[in-house]
Amino acid sequence: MTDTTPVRLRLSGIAKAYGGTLAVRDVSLAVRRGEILALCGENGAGKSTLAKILAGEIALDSGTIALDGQPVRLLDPASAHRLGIAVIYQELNYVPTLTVAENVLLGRLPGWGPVVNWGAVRRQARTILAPLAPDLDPIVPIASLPVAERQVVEIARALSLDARVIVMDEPTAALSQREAGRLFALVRRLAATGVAIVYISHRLDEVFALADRIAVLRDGALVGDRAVGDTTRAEVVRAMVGRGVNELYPRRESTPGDPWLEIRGLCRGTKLKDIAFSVRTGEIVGVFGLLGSGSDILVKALFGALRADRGEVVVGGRSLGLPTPNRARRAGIALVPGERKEEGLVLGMTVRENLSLSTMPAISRRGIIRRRAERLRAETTVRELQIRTRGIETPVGRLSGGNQQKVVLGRWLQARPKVFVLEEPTRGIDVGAKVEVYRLIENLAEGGAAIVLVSSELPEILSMSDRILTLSDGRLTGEFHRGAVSQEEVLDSAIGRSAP
Amino acid sequence: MPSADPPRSPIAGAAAGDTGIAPAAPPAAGVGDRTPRLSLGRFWDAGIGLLVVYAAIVVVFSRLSEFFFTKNNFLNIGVGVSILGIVAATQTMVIIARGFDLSVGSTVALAGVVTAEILNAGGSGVVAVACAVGVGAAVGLINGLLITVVRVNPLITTLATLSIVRGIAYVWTDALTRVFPGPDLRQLGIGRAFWDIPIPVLIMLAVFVIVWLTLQYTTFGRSLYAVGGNPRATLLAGIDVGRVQLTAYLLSGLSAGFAGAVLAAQLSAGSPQAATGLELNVVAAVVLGGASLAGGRGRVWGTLVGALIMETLRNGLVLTDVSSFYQMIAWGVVLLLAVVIDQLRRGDAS
Repeated sequence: MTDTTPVRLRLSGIAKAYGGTLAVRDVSLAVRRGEILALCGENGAGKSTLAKILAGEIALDSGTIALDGQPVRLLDPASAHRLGIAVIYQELNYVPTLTVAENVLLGRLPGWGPVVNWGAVRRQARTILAPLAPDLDPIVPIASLPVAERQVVEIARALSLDARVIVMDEPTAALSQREAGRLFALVRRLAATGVAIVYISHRLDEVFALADRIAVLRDGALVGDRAVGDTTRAEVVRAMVGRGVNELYPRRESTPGDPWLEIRGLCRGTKLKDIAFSVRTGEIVGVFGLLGSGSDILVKALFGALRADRGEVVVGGRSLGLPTPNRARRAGIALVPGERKEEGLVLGMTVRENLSLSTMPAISRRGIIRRRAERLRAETTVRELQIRTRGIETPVGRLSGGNQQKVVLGRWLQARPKVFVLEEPTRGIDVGAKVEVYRLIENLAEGGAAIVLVSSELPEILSMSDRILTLSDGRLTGEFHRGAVSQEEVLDSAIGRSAP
Repeated sequence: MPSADPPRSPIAGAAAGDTGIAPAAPPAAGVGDRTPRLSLGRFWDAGIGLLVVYAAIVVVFSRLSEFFFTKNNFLNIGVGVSILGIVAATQTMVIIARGFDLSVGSTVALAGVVTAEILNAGGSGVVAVACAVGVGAAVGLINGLLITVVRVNPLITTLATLSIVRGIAYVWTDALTRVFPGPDLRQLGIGRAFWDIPIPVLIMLAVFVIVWLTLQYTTFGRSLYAVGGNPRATLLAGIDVGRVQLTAYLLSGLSAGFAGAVLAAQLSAGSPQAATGLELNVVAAVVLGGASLAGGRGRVWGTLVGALIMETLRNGLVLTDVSSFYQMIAWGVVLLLAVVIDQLRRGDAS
């Protein structure tokens, strides 16, 4: 692709306001045929609004869109579809009770009139899935798959529609490294056929690995647009947050104390096999596993949300046996679950109510909530964690992802637990909020908490952990110490014994 | 956005004033955070719609019947709504916690039979009421254990216990109404307090106040909203979700048992066919009052107005000589209305 390659998609002076707030202001962008443009920016920078405009879901206030030089009007999703613009959203869109094949071919099931040709359905579904998930059985119900694989199916479906422009909004948010790798290969192949790709992501690693050009949005305006070769990570981050972020990950001297959390012989079916490790006070132990490794199950079993078959959890020398969530909480274990909206928050409740969910005994006397104490605690937490909200009575669903995550974390802080189990604590939150969450984790460790950090982001695991454990096929397969290990070694160990 | 904090809206004060008790106005915290966007759902959530509906019913019947808008008739409505109200108050807690208790009507009947049998066997009124409450609590406990430990769907569980409990009442009494002579419970059923207010009405109001205080000020009340709003997140926050739900069913059964004793005292008899179909009116009153069947939302004063609407409608139709078949149609329409509104609101919230 060169400067003479024709422009496929051109946005000129796009603006969109919600009420008095300008979500997108005067954005002009051009994507050439076969070009992969990464769109970066913090949450609320206007990326998703732009994606929705291209999907025809919301109308723009001013500006023009041209496809292959022709001005077009995107009135509704159907017209965007007809023009060949495919948008893959963060939020998934499938019928849970149908099979993978039915979902992939929804609305275009092959057959004779009303009679479906199931053989053809299976064959076509396999063809569509092949590039991303060759091993996936298309006739299992989609609901039986883990979320990440559902997302793979979703992406495969969108990619199989012939499109001139593909917009992807955080497509790898729930994918494992391997699946993300397959997705990138496919995206590159599509680009090679002339499709223009707008790739929205927080993850700078993948942006730099994949994109030809990076455009940065901040507060709805375009603040940078460079070829990948002409810019650096630091420059992109600075453009995104509007200030210098010297280090994404804080550096600290770690001085772990005595073992505080001990897991002994934890087993659950074929998913967890004899898991045993311990975490010392002030220590961050990173657990890295690919999709299906059982890391999510380990987290839930450790906290008692899933019942293990055998094993024991010991906190501060006192055995909980196999805990229940209630007992785990009282023993001083705090859990920040991976799925913020489904597992972390009661979305209908206010910030205050969500913040006191785990500390109700502390703010009540004989079962009666002491309102003043509750309000005081909530306000303190909001201030200390710098949760950006209009007030503690704001419904928590109104907050941005990063601030929601701080609420889930903040819920535990007032209880001063000694053990934190963090599952993907920075998934889907913007760079600025990530830095704050990392600082917070460091502070907790410095305060003497024993921390288990489960993450599928290797840089995060490598930079944050004092010790790294790899999990594969329900078994711990490796242990590494900080600084003495490379990304590849950890990855090899995580894949290592994944063969059945 | 669904509201989790029940009496935050004007309905709490308004409904309370309507019924003669005056709880302190709840803090209006949070109202300022709402986006001022008007829609049917918000209108309804604010509790205004419900009171408008009730006022309209009162106005219409006042014009149609000279006997309607009198003190005596309103006291009648009060007595008529008391059993429904007692049961609906606790059902509100169950529904907020994403549950469902259909067995309450049968429990009322069985508790009434228990009351009658104990009085006939020479037991005292206190013992009879205690046993009625105990039987109700036992049914609630069984429901709760099946739903939270065995994890049977609440609809199916309570549909089954509905049938079983009613069956026990019939078998026990040979399907006969057991009359009891004792004056012991007369006061409880048909006594009058100050201003001629019937005792059952005071009992019902007391139950509503207790439930309101529980929902508003206790950790258990907060847990009910949390469990209904997102059971998984609540579990992962370290709250014993099963115990919260179990307690809700236990309280629902307990109050149904108590209501059964009050009903028996009103009738001076325990009948195995008493309160047939009560459960549907109870659920209708709760949903009409603003609780969401999807859980996490509801307020107990709304339930009181919902119950009043159901009973006033019945009373008015009787006074205006409308055939009871038309009454059935009217109730059905009200129930449908309640569910449609629930649906509209849910659409709103998304």
